[in-house]
Amino acid sequence: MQLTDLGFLFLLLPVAAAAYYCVPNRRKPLALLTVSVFFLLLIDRRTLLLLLLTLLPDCALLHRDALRAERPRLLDLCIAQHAAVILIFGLLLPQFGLPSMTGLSVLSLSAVGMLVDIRRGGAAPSPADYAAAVLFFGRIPLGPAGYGERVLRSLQAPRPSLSGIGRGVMLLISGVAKQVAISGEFIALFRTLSHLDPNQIALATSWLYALCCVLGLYFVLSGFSDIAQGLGLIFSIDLPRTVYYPLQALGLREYVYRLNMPLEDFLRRMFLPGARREQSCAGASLVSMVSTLLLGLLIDPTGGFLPWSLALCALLLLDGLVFCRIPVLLPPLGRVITFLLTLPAYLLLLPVGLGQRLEMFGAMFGIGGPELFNSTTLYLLRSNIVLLLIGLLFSSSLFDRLGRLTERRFPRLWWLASSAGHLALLVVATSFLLWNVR
Amino acid sequence: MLKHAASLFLAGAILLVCALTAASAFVRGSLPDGISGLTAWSNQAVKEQLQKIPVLEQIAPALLLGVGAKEQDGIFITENYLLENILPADRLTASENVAGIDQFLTSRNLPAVLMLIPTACAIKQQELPANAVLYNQKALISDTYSDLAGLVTTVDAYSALFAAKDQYTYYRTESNLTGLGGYYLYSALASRLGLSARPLDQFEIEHLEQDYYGDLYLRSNYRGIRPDLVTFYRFSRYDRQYLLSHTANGETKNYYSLFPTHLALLGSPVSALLGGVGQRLDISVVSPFEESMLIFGDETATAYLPFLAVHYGQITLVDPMQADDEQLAAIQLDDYNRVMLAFSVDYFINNPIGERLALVP
Repeated sequence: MQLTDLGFLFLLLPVAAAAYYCVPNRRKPLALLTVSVFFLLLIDRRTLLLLLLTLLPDCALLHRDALRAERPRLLDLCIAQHAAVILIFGLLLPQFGLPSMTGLSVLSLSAVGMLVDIRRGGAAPSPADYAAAVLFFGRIPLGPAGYGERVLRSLQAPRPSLSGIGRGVMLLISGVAKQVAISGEFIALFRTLSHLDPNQIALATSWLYALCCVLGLYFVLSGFSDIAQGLGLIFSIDLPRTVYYPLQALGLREYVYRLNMPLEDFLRRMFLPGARREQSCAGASLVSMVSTLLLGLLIDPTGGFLPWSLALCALLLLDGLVFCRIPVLLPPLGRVITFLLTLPAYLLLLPVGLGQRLEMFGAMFGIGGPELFNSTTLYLLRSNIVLLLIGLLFSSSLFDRLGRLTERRFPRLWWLASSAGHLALLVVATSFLLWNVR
Repeated sequence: MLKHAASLFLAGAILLVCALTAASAFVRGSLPDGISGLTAWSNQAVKEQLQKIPVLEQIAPALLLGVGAKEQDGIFITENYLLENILPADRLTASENVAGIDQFLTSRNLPAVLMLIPTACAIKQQELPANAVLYNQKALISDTYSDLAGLVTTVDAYSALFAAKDQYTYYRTESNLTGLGGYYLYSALASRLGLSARPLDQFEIEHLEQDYYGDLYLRSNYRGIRPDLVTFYRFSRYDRQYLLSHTANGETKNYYSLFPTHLALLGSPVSALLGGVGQRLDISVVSPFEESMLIFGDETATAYLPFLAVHYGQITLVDPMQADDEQLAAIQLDDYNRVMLAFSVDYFINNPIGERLALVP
């Protein structure tokens, strides 16, 4: 099962949410655990089995009050088993062609985060709270990795509200719409472009290809982020935003941070506790690089995104040496420069051989004397111009800022317009979903 | 108050679909087969519920068309046609098929006829948006023919169909040739086989269905296209008696006509054309001709075979991708006077035909 399935959105989720709200607040962690186990069973039963096996010793120790900061070795052992699961089942085995397990790395990472917090003196949760926080299914879509304790806080003091559910439904709808309507169309354009003959590639074609990749990936990640946040709010759980308009980042470190903010925050909390994100040091750059590599592996555990991650890491390295001053000196230009610098990395996602990728790379910079434009590029631009404009507009924070401003100044108008807009979006997203499953 | 009402309104819309789906499933007595079948069951139940509002399915294609996307899900939506834009899933398949056919013919010292049939989007270019990105079918056909020169007699189906590009040679809502398209193929084929093509007026035209919507119509959800006309061309100059035998999974079904029209009542109208193309099809004809022909082909055969059958006593059509290994191994090439390989370009670039032909003894 996928979280964008018609059956999940219109049948299983409403039933599960209704059942969850019928349970009194003190029983909510157990209810959420049951709901999460149920959905994990449908999403990937291997993930569920492995997580239950690794969570069992943690919960047994929590039950006996043995997991405390005073017993670091025991905690280290628990952390090590989750780290081993991430390394072996999440990252290593898919490299050898074994099927990846949906959500395993993200959920195990949450367990690691919570155990590290206990090791650093945090309060140990009850076994049911801990299991419910780690297994919460809503974080699977590449969600806020490592934010188990945030789920825990919401679980321990649940504040269910109708407006919270309403916001959750809106986020879920916009996430699904981004996934099925916008990113789906960019992926279709991406496929058309990747089937072009090398002699059809003009300079503009290679830039169009990179733009199409970046927008397609942005809407996939942003859609996942919205779905995760939306599901969280539907179950009264406050989850952070994962993606924050990376295409308008000021600087390369900012760019990779905005691709998955909780992931980098988590790594910084693990390895550089107390360090601020703005801090410029070798350690902070290293955390950004590890976060980028990990993101690539989380998106595609078989390594398809690894060249892209490595290219971004190389840019981060250069950022520390050469580019770091450019965005600071000229902020508006800095955003454009950052965007343009990262675009070529997306050519590495081209599903062709190295030779053809290099040709495309060369064409991007005019090497080999490609035409500036050709009829193919003009046709593709003409037939996709509205899609590209929509993509560029919605990948900027323009509408987000406008929405927040309206909500602050005219809350009634915002709720009215927003609910009508999201209902229209629900109809459109449902139409695309029906179209995709026909 | 307003934000509660708005939230209730949105959540209520989803809950309403949920309640209607559950009620509808309950009334029909439809229940999932345990937890493993729950996902598929819930998807199907919701889909069926939402399909009760037909306009819902048409919003997505209409929106995309509105923003200028004339090609949707690999289908060009034009004024008169839905045209499938074919693409190779694997760029190597076509070259591997050329090598496979070369090996098949060389090792068996077999003279054969090869016909690669372009799809509608290569022929109906006047319907397509200017500069549309298309797979170069003409180049593929020309390259394949030159690679296999000396081994096969080639048939220029492209020119024959392109010359008639303004006529109704392809279905508007399906990726196959009409009877008229089949006639043009037959004419091109006849000259290469040393046959004298019968003029079209020797065939009686019968319309089976005037409102036929093919698979592209169902795939695209675009509803602004005219339906197709399903037509038979029955040879009427001289009397012919046909025995049509379909063999699939060890079972044989016989029909005493090239157009078993009762099949149209059971399924799609086009299944009345030769009863469709399955694993193996044998056509025995009571006629003055005794020559036999073995064709390795695909569903395009339904268009040209009714014309070709006039000249032969026995024709066997084997679809190499549908036929099982045993059926391919049981083929006796010596039983036939001629062997022909006839595939649409789409079939040729997306199926490992060479691998399958290697199973023929």
